[in-house]
Amino acid sequence: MFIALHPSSGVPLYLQLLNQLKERIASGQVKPGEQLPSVRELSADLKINPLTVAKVYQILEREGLVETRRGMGTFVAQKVDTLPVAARRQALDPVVRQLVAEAIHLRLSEAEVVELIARHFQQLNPRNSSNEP
Amino acid sequence: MNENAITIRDVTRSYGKTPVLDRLDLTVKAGSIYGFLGRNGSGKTTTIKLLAGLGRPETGEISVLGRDPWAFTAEDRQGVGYLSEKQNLPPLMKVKSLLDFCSRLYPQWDRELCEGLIARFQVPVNKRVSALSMGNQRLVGVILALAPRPAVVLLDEPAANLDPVARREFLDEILDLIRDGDRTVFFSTHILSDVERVADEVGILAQGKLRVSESLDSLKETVKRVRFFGFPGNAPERPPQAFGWRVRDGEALGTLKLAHPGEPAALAANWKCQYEIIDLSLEDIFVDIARN
Amino acid sequence: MKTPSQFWTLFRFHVFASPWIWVMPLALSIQGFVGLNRYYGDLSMVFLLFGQQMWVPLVIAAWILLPEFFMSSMWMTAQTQQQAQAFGGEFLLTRAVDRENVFRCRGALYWTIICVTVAVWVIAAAFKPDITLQLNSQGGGAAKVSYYLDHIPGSFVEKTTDGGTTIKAPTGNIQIRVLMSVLMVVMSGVWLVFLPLISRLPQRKWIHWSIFILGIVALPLLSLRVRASLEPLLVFGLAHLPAMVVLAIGILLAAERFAETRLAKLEFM
Repeated sequence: MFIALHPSSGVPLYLQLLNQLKERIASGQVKPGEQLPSVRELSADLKINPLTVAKVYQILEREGLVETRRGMGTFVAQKVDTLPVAARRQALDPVVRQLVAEAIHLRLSEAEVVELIARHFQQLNPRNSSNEP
Repeated sequence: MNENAITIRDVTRSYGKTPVLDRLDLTVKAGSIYGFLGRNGSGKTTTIKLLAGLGRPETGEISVLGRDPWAFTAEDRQGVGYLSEKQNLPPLMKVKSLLDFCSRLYPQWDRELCEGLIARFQVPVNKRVSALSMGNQRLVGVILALAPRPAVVLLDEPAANLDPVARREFLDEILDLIRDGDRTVFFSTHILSDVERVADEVGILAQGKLRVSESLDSLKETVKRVRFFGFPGNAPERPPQAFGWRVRDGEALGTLKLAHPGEPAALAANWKCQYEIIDLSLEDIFVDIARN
Repeated sequence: MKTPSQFWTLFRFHVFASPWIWVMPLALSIQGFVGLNRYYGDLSMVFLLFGQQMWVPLVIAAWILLPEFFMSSMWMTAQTQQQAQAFGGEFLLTRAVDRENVFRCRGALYWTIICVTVAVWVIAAAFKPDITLQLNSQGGGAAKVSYYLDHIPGSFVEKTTDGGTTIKAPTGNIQIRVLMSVLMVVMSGVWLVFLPLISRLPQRKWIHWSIFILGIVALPLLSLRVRASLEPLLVFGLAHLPAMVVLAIGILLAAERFAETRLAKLEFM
């Protein structure tokens, strides 16, 4: 797995790794049931502190994106919707708010933004995007 | 083993007549990589020398692996690796004899690791220490500190004089050491990108006191630059939680330690202004804290 | 690691870390080959030959036990700095060693150098063991003759000319050099005690350096000035040589013990 991290950016290293892993899981580059590299392997590969990787895996597990099978390793979870819809909505809310604020500044209409979003859904998740309302 | 590998409590120390450390408190959890930052003359080296048992504090207590470093026996020192800021290896000895001498002092000296490090760093072992480049001398010092596989490694400016490739290899080695088990690395450096890559805890020393000591992630998440603008009147005075505070053209730019994520919003509401949050790299944070 | 094996590891390190330290005993022991066998009037010439060397152990002691003493000085070339660094305390004291052991080892090396030196003195004397002391009739006269005969073991009157007396001691040269060795050991002990007393690291106080330099300059001058008045002490020493040797060994042990405990408490900041 190739992951590019920028240690000297203002975004904490763990957050960079977290976001990239989430994107790969969301886009199906890493499929449900597939095993993720161990903390040791990934930290050796990325040349970063193992505690950082462990922290990311913990967050992913808490959010239900991966599951740890004792003695076997970390796997991408089969079902991602372990959280109730309301909670998942709430998690996305601040990002959307920021997006909308940005769109207003740039004088983009709601329809244009929705179209943009649809395009990204198409790119990241081509199979499921048609099912989305 | 204690939960803290290193504890410094209320330590004061001066160098000649110049006060250096002023009631310093610092703890390092076992198993972490602690990046120790500060400007030149801020007392980093003094702190590390005290941890290595080369001197005694004037007040306060120091404990490394539960022992007072000043009273370290040969046995205690097995568990503590040290690399000095100065290149102080015996210059007339061949690298090979120097390694051989040290290996005899440590029963748990890891011959395999030592050979591996020599090969990896490409250190010429048949030369005298004084014939090596500064970078290679530094690497010999690193090998001597790591090869006994100590539980605590104290490194004073380990990356100084290393070229970028050697530095990367050295950082990898430090990470390997940590992956290996319950080891603690305490290192000072000026090269902040090194800290960002490997350290999980960061401490910033200024004026003899520890200004910041926390995990790098939370430091990046809680120390932000915030731009406040659109004040109805004049820009307000510097709030107490700000490290830096500049006012210009009716705007205020401050580096804030946030107690919670909503703090800028709360401040802005209070001042009836708008705000923008800017992420900071460790270097930005360091400069703002150390300069203050 | 057991203390004895740690000691020998350290000792070997010190022996090989800086080969230049072995130049010092060689230079010092050259004295052994330029000794005198003929004295006129009294034996005070002995001080002229040996007295000037009594400050040398101070330099050796500082060099081996506390090279940091030299580190901060301005008149150090890169070369000497390198020599001094060979025994740098910071490196060695942060390895897996006991502090006292490091200084005991350095003390042992110091005493090895001193003892090798004096051993060469005594051995060299064995090739020309006798001395001849020529006294003239003026001054003490007969009283002086019996004074020397009483105090120098094995001495006898060889011949009396009209002007004076010639005394011969078949092993006199060996005795004198043994006594000088005793003096050398005692002075070495004094310097070993002196060193930790004036040292505090970081080395900043100019007074330490002044005392150090004063010791180097004053002692040779002093040995030139007062050698005549010290001569009775020399003769006394010759008369009680075994006691002097015992005294020297006692001082050696006491000085070593003092130095190693004091130096082990020194900070290397």
